[in-house]
Amino acid sequence: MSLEKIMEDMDIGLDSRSDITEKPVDEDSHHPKHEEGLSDEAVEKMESGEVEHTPTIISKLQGSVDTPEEFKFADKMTFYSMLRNIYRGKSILITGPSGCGKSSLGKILAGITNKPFYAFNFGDTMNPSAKLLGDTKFDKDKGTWFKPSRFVSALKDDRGAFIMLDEVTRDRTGDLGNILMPVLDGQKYLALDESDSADTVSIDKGAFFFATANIGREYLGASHDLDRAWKDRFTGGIYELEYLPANKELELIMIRTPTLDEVDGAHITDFARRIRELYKAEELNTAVSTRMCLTTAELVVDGMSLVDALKHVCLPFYPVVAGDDTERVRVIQVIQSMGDYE
Amino acid sequence: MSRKKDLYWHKTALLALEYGLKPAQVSKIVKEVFPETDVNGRHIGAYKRRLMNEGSIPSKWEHSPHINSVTLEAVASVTDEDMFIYNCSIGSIKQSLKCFEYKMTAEVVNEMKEIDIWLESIGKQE
Repeated sequence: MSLEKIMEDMDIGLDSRSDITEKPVDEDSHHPKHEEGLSDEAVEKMESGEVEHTPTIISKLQGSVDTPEEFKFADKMTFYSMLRNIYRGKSILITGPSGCGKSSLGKILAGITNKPFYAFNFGDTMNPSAKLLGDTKFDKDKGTWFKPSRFVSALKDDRGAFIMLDEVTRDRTGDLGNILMPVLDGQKYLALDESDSADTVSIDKGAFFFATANIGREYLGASHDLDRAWKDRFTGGIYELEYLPANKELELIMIRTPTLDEVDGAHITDFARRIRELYKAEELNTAVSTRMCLTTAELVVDGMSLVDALKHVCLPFYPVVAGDDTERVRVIQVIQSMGDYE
Repeated sequence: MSRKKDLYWHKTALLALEYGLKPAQVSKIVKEVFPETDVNGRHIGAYKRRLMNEGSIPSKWEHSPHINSVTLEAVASVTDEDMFIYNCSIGSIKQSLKCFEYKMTAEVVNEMKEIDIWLESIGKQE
């Protein structure tokens, strides 16, 4: 049945809609671009081909700031848009697998922008509210008193702090999200309900929040996706980081461990690539991170054989279970194939 | 799409060039505002040519104010945005240097000697 027929049957033809009023036709505004909502001025500019050059923050960053050596592995626009977000005070969230360089990225950005750096890791605490707000202490002379946290000092830092909230998905209590909501959104305050005067802390206008999260099936406390309300608070956007491509990873390894034989470096990145392919195919539950590659490279430099170093660093991530077709067996097979090169 | 390059010091330089100061003088002003910049008179000269080609500034001036008064105006009028970008440009260079530090450290430090000392100290404890 056609749409016209349905509308006819329901007696709701377009003509009968009361909210559509006929606009008076302006003789001069017949240009098709007017129908797209463009103003006379915009249409005129378009027709003359005259495009005014206006410098923007991103164009100035592109012209003035070279991507530092350690950032050359990422997309350039990612770098410049992150700097733009820092300037605008728009919080960002970096997601990605463990060991892919999320926290390193935070440290590098803090270094570049020359902002005071404060890092808070939520993977190492059972009590995020104490970490964010503070603790009640007892002193025999003063009695009970409230000691505000380092996070409070970071918010108040008038130099505009770079605040890294590491591993936000590791919080199992739910307190972290609730406390941070007014901090990250337009309200920009932190309520210290336990302090003597139950006061609120106003956040310095230069403060910037850089959060990281592990998203993936293998991470404790990390679901495949984050709460929608959380995502909305990161107005600078959510950056999804992936492991580096093999050639870039090799460059990074060679920078960090310059005395490593480049052939060994290539074998390490090739091993990582093969394991990641198995992970993507869901044959393994976890992949090999860049951090693991670097640790392997350091062990090789210090005299361990490549195969031994790979076994030492990677095997503990794959459980020992009975059977011939386990994850561990598959990883051992890939490691042993590396031995063929030696 | 315009291919013109935009830089953090352009606004400051434009202010001084509009007063008719010479590139060498403008470079001094830019250095006053952005002390660690590597911008020199040649960069300013190239920017001046671009502005003249665009017709944004005239090619001749009858007389110009003293450099000191323009410097004061330039320092007062620099924007937070340009200062942020300037800091990033310096920070980025420093970050790259840190990166090369790994190489330098590996070349300069005789690590084997340190390891020998450490091994010796372990032997003594036993």
